[in-house]
Parts: sequence; C-alpha cells; structure tokens
Amino acid sequence: MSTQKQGSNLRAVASSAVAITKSVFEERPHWLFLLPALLIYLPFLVIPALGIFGLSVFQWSGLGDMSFNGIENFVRAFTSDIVYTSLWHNIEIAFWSLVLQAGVGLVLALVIYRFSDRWRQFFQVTYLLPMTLMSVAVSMVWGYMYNPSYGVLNTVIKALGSDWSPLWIGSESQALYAIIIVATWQWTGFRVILWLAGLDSIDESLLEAARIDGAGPIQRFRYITLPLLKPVAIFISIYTIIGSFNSFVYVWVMTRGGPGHASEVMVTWIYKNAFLQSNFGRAAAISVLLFVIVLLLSLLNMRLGDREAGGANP
Amino acid sequence: MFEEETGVPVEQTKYENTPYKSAISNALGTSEAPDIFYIWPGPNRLGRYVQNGNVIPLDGVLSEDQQSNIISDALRGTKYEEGDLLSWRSEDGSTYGVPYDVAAIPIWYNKNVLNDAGVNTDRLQHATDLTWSNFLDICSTITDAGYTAVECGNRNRWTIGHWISAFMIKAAGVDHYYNAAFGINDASLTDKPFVTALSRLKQLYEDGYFNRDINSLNNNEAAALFFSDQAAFWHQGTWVTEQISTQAPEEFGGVPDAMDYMWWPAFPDSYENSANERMSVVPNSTVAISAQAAERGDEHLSNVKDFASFFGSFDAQKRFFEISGSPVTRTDVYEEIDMNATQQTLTNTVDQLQSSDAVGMVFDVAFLPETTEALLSAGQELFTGGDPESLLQDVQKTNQDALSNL
Amino acid sequence: MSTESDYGIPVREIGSELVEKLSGLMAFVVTGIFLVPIGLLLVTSVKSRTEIFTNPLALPAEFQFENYANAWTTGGFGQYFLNSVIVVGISLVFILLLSSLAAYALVQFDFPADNFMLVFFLAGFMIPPQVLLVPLYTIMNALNLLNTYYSLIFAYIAFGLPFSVFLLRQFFVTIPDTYAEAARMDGCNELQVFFRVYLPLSMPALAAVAIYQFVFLWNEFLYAIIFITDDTLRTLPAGLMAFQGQYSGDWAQLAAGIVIAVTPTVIFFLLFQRQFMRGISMGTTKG
Repeated sequence: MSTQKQGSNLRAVASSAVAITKSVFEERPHWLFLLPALLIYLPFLVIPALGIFGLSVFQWSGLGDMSFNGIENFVRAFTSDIVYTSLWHNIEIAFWSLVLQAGVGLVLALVIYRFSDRWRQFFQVTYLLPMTLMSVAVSMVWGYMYNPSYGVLNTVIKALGSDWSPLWIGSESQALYAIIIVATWQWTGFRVILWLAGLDSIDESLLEAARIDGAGPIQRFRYITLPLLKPVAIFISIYTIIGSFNSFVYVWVMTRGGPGHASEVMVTWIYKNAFLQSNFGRAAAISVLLFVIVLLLSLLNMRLGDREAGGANP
Repeated sequence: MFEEETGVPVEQTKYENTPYKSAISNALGTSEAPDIFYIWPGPNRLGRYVQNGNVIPLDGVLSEDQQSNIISDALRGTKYEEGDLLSWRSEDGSTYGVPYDVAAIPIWYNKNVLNDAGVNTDRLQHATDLTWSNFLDICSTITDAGYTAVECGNRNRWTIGHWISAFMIKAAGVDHYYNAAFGINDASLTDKPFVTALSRLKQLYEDGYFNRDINSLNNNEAAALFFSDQAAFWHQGTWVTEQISTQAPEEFGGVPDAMDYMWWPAFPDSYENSANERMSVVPNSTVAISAQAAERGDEHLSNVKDFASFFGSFDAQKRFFEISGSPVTRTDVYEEIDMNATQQTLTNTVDQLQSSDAVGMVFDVAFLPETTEALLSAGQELFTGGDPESLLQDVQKTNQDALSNL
Repeated sequence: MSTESDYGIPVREIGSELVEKLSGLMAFVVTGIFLVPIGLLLVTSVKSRTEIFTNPLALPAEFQFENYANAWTTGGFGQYFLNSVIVVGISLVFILLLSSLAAYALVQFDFPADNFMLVFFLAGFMIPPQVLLVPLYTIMNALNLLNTYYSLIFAYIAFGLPFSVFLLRQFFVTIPDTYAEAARMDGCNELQVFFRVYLPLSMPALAAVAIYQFVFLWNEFLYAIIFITDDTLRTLPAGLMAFQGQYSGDWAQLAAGIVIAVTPTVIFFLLFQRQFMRGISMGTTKG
C-alpha cells in the first residue's frame, strides 16, 4: 500500500516537474538551447575561475580538510624570490616572442603575400605544419637536438670546425633562450598565417590608387598597409604575450624549470607548488597573479580593438 | 597466493610508479580508500598519512619471526609516534607499515673502462672504505685515459639528489642528517659537514670528473653512455637490471661481468664513522592499512591485517624476490635460494646494509617536500656557478618555513 | 614588370629585384628550418639504438621498422592512442553540439539576458586553461572524477565552448532569417529548425571549429598529465611523457612513439587545410 502510494506520489512529482520544465521551455525556449552548454560551462570553467580566489586563502595539502589561513599564502608566495624570477622569465619570453614570432612573422607574411597562389599555398602549409604537432613531441625532438654530446646542433657546429660546444638547455644562461627558440619554431608559422589573413582583408584598390598617386612600395606600406593592419597587429601582439605568460609544456618537458630556476616560469612554479610540494593554497595565490595579468591583457585587447574598429563593430 | 592459502578475496588496482602517490592521496580522501596499499616510508609520504590520520598503527601485525628476520633499519623506517610526522624512526613509535623490499644505491663502475684506464677493480669491488682522496685519484687516472670519470644525468634533478644525500651522510653521519632535516637538536642544513658535502660535489664537476653536460642529460641518457663504455662511474639503485635491459647495447655484459658496485667514498676527515654508515632506500616500499579499513568491521580488519602480515612472510618475500629480482627485507630468504651471479651481487648489497651501523634514506623520501624541491634545485645550481654555502642557506630557510608550517 | 620601370632609375630597379630574390630565398630557408627537425625525427625513428650515438647525422644502415611495432605494443602506444580517440572524440561531439545550440539561442531568440549571455560566454576567452589548474583539480577531486576519462572530457568541453560559441554565432548571424521563418511556417519547432536548417547550413563553420579543436585537444598536455594517473587511461601526450621516462636513452624508440602520436593531427591538417585556414581567419579578422 505505502509503496504504491509513494510510487504514485513520486509519479505526480515527476510529472509536475516535467510539466514545469516543459512550460519553462515553452515560454523561454532559449534556455532549452543554452542549458546544456551552461551545465558544463558553469561548474568546469566559471566556478573554478572564481575558485582561484577562494582557494588562495586556504591551506590545503591535496588531502584531508582545508583550513582558512587568510593572506598567509600570498605572504609566503610573494616573499620568495622564485615567483619574481618566474614572472621575469615570462616577460622575457613575451618580449622575444613579440620580436621573433610576431615581428619576423610579419616580414615573412609580406614576402609570401606576393607569391603566386600555388606557392603561397605551399608556404602556408609548410609554415603551419609545426603548429599541428603536439608541443610535448616538439619539446622532445628539440631536447634531442640540443643534446651536447650527440645532438644535431652540436654535431653540426663541430663539423663546421668550431670548438664551441654550448650546453643549451643544461646551461643556466642559455636554457631560457633555448626554450624561446623552440616556441619560435612552433608558432612563427601560425603568426604568418594570421598576418596573411590581415593582409588579405586590405582593399587592393587603395594600394592601387596610392600607386597611381606615385607612392613607392615603402611609402605604400608605411601609410596604407601598416595602419590598416593595426587591428590584426593588436590581436596578434596581445595573444602572443598571453601565450607567453601561459608557457608550460616546453619548459616542463625540456628543463623542468632548471637548471636551478634558470627557466622557471609562472605555470611550472604553480605546478610545483601544488603537485610536488602539496601546497594548493600557495599555488592558487600565484595563480591569482597570473589570472590578473592575463585578464588585464585581454581587456587591453578589447579596448584597443574597439577603438580601432571605431564603434563599427556590432 | 594469499587468496589460495586463506580464502580471503583480494581486489587489486595497479599503478605506475610516478603517478602513484597522487592516485593514492586522492583515494585516501574518499570512502573508496583501499584497505591496504603500498607506500614509501618517509615523512614525505607515509609520514603525511600518519599526520593526517589516514593510516592505522599495525600493532601485532608482524610476528616475532618477522621482526627478527627483517633488516632492522627497515623496521625502524616504518615507525612513527601517533600523528607526528617528524617522529619518524622513533624507537618508541608504532609500526605503520610492513617493510617489503629494499634498494641499495651504490656507485657502479664499468669494468672495461677501468681496465682500459689501468685501474685495478679488485680494490673497488663492494668497497666501503674507499676515501675521498682515493676516489679523486682514480677519477684523475680515468680522465687522463680519455674517459668521463662519472656520468650523471641531472636534467630531471632527482639524480644529483642521490649524490647529495650520500655525500651529506658521509660527511655528517645519518643522525646529524636527519636532525638537520627535522630541525632537531639545533642541527641545521648549513652546518659545516653539509657545506663540505656540496663543495665536494662542486669540486667533482669543476675538476672535470662529472660529465660537463650533467644538467643537459637525463638519467637514462647518462645510463646509455655508461653502458656503452664511455664513462667509468655512474650511480643507480639496485633496480638497475631493468634499465640495463632497456638502455644497454645488446652486447653489454651486465652485472657483474661488465659492471659491479662500490659504496660511496667515505669522508673520515669530516665524520669519523663515515665508512660504516650508508645511504640507500631502506625500506623501499611498505604496506600500510588505511583508516577506512578499520571502520569496515573487526573481522574485516583482522583479514586485512593478516594480508598485511603476509607481505612480511617468508614465502611471499621469497616469491617476490624470485619474480622481480629486487632485494627484499628478509635476509633469511637469500639463504634458501640458488642465485645467479647477478642476484648474488645485488643481494650482497643487502648484507652490507645489514652489517652497517646506520642507513640513511635519500632526501626526496626523507625530507619535507618544500625542502626536497629547494635542495634539488640547488643540486643543479651547484654546476652553474652556485656557491654551496649560500645555496644551503636558502635551503635551510625553506626548510624552516616548511617545518613551521606543519 | 611594374609600370614604374618606364620612367625607371635602373639602380633602383635592380635593387628591388634583388630584394625580391632575396626575400624569396628567405621564404625557402624558413621552410627548411621548419622541415628539418621533422625530417630528423622520421630518420631517427628508423635507426637502431646504438646508431644514435655513433652516427647522429647519418641515415640508418638498415631501416628498423620494428621500432614502431615495439612502441605500439610494449610501449603501450596502442592503448594511449585509443584513450586519446575516446577522450577527444567525445569532447569534440559535445563541444560542437553544445556550442551550436547555445549559439542558436543567442542568434534566434530575443530575451532579456541575451547580451549578457553572449558576454558571459565570451568572457571564457579571457581565462586560459593554465590558470584554472589548481581549482579545477580541486573540483575534480571533490567530484571523485580524477583518474577517469570524464575529468578530461568535462574540462575539454568547458575550454572549447567560448571560442566555438563565438565562431558559430558569427556564422549563424550570416544565415538569413527567412530560412528559419519558412521552416517554422512548415510547422517545424525550434529544435527542428535548428537540426534541419541551421546545422546543415553551418557545415563549413562546424568543420572549422572541429578541426581547430581537434588539434588543440589531441595535443593537450597539462591536464592530461595531472588528471590521469593510471597508465591504462593516459592520452597520447601524457603517454609520451611516461614513455620518455622509461626509454629516454633509447631515442630511436622514442622517435617512433612521437611519430605515432603526431601523425593524426598532421594528416588531418593536410586533408582539411582550407577549413583550417578559414577557421583562423574567421577567428582573427572578425574579432
């Protein structure tokens, strides 16, 4: 009897729930379409993003209970030099990435832009190839090439008759640059394609008109191409910088941040704090800094982007 | 085997070495915690679970027979006082794990290279009393012959950790080493013997005895060079046979035909009893019982305890040794087995551990995680111009912070 | 060639021709720089263990194709490959489905929170996965999802949504409303309009999203090494790392493993390069 009653109650509840849901979706059908995405988006992106701030004021070893400890994590994280060393390395990576990936990328894009379609296609494909490889694999291949005893680079240097034999990733002064070279190898091609997309969006007739007005190639580039590329340039620059602040794989696979902390970056330091030293609160405190930096850069991108678009963007 | 004998069903989950510690940490936080699990014994691992109350003391699990046959340092290495991570190895503590196997970490020498360089290997074989100056002389002979004296791959950092642990123990003794790590009896990692230890490592590099690219290679790359007769010395635990099979050229003769071991050079000028204390991993893995197992009923717990005890039994230990080839904690096992030359060499390390005055553990198991991290970084910086004294000051500061944070 | 040459100053003409030749050469040199490490990888993967040390630059004396067989079976790459296919495949299907549904809602319905929801999704752009490492680990731990496929799948879908919603919304606005109106006249409800009208019309955009996300997910490393600890559940990037730990002195074997791991994205890229480029230019110039 009672089970029957419970069953019918349950059924009533269920059917009314269905009815309510149905009416909600009938009145506001957009939620039916938004809900599935939100069910993943909220718990696995939005809440963790807010959670960084929450976690940063707790002590937690990854095991057992968390205990509130105020600003202790921040004090400990930011009185150690290593976090500043890491931050500085990220800034160095960002600078060189701007010069090498974005800068050289632009030059290459201008060169390729003038080739016939078939050649252009060839270059686009070969230039993009490194980007499609997984960074772990790229790091390993370069780690192999950097090997001082039997790596390709030192073997070639030796074959050329030089007795210079750099230690590359094993050297305190070279490790970071060795990593920057790998990042440049993998991402410059991608920047070239981005620049090409920007160049393609320039109206040919403007350049033609300038040519007829007697402007030389350098003048045309300076006064027409460059200003029109500005929105793309902002986009490329800022995403190159953001990418540099998020560096992890190359460093982790090739040097683990070493020798010493010579190639330590923010993300490897966060990783070490959390997963090697079991200090999740302190890792979250460092993540807060990284988050703020990336957020500011993104906002800068939006602002500059908006100004460039002159409000024409919807 | 245990199932066959007792009829108690056992469910197994297997993990690989490295990710295991995070897997077990995750599991222990949940109601699905295993009853029984493998764990490394030091404060860095088992100690944390003792501190957190995730494991229970194993009173009465080990029989008299087991207690008397298991290497004494292995038994001591599983003891803690309740809830206190820093009480590790306390004589008054309770046993929290059944010590299962051991790994000696000696220096291996390549016989071909030494013979070619004109060094008599008889003096080195299983030697415990080779001094620092003897060792430097040999290194010098080897480099003169055109070989690398000591090959080491420190790119992933833990390898130099073994050198640091060994040199610290040789220079300061096991007790001083642990006291400094746990901030007991006014001992500090900046004490003179520890500076001596790091200075000597730095000297090995600066005199050209370590391979110049020490920070560029990882351990397996260094191993490959050692196996292919390019270097005279290379250090590794007694788990070395697995590495020989994956890294060595097919014609390599293995242990003991092509390579054999010696203990780390003694520093009697820094610590008198240096030759009689060792650095190794004793015990290597232990079997612990989770707190959750105790909540699953008395009969259940009693079965779990029987199972834990089984790991220390003669039969289980014998079988484990026969299958894996890595040394176990019960020394009576070795008397019963007809061993090949490789096994004889490997188990000889156990006899020498047994007969030593004290055995100290590598610091990445023994020290707190923050300290470990700092010391590993220092271990790379030694070879990039770092000054031993100031490096140790940083490590000491980190250690004090970590200790005060407990 | 150019109209200027009629009046031309010869020196200047020669100069510009030289620049043109040199810049063309540069483009080829750069191609070489990009291709050499890849070629080296392929050569290394068929060498023998000892040749690496004795002859770093030379071609192998004999092609050791068994390196591949060994990596696939004893190295565990067969299993890693399967895990990657499962995790990436499921994540991709859900990213496409969920983001196109959301984009449809943003384009087809006028509701009070309309603009807010758009910004809400776009805000995800500003949160790189690396920043979420610690809190996401904590959440997965609390939900008991660590060391399961789900942990990676949920994270990957969440990371993929902002860009995909953005790109698909950009595409959906270009589809004339009249199509939807006509379908509704024929008695289609919203879901049917979505599945029968919008999805088929959006194939190019969906393909661009899919290819872009495929490359990103297949190569994802950070979460792959942190969330999965069981060797039998590892995806390729994490498996590669474990494999290196085991065989790092044996470069030939490792190289074979690397080739296995990277081949799918390379093939995919070569087959769908046009869609790929399209995805890139949609992402930049319209942002």
